[in-house]
Amino acid sequence: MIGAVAPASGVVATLRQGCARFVRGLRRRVAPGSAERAVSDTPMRHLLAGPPLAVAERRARDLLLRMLSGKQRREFELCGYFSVEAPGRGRFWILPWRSLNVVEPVTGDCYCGMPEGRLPVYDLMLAQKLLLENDPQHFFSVANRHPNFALHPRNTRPAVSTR
Amino acid sequence: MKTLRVLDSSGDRIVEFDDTAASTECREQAKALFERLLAGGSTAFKVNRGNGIADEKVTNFAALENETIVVPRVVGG
Repeated sequence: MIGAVAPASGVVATLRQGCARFVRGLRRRVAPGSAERAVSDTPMRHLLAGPPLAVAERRARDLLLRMLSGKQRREFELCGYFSVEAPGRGRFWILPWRSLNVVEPVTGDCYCGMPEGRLPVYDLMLAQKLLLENDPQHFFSVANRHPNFALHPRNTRPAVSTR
Repeated sequence: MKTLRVLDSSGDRIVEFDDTAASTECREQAKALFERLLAGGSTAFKVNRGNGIADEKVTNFAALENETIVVPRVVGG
């Protein structure tokens, strides 16, 4: 690809570490019994509007796991994110957070396109997977693109407290 | 039995129907919901099709298979 810049390995490592922290938090929230825990004091409370959210996240995670291919499921369970092939556009990572979570690994470009409404994160990832794999023109026609966003260290995901 | 899953804040909402005469009312309700959602900008995909058949975007209620996921209207963030 002309003009493509491979992300610096350090930036990719930072992205992956941030991703892993986020996923650890999500896994705690969807663990059995988590629905009964108060969420008002969690550092992710802005993502947890509504008491039944842990139940919704668990339900969404189960659905996502069922819809992933074997390779994507292994990748997701190991790393917390997965790759998709968008016909005519190449490979993208779908990361487990709400904004700028579709990353083109070759360029570091990030895309932000999400369904309306407050869906669980795993539903958001599933929606993006279905769109990228089956209707990429639609996704890219509405998604906002941030060139080289992932290559700037200040834009990588900050640490999430894992109390 | 066919399943329509509409992604929402609870995870997903399920509507089930089939092609039998006994399910006519459910089918009509599902069709009305499907068409209303797509008219509002949602996108539907046939999934879980078996035998390694890839997922596929669908716009016609008559073409729905065993499982369909409806994604709400997508906007730029």
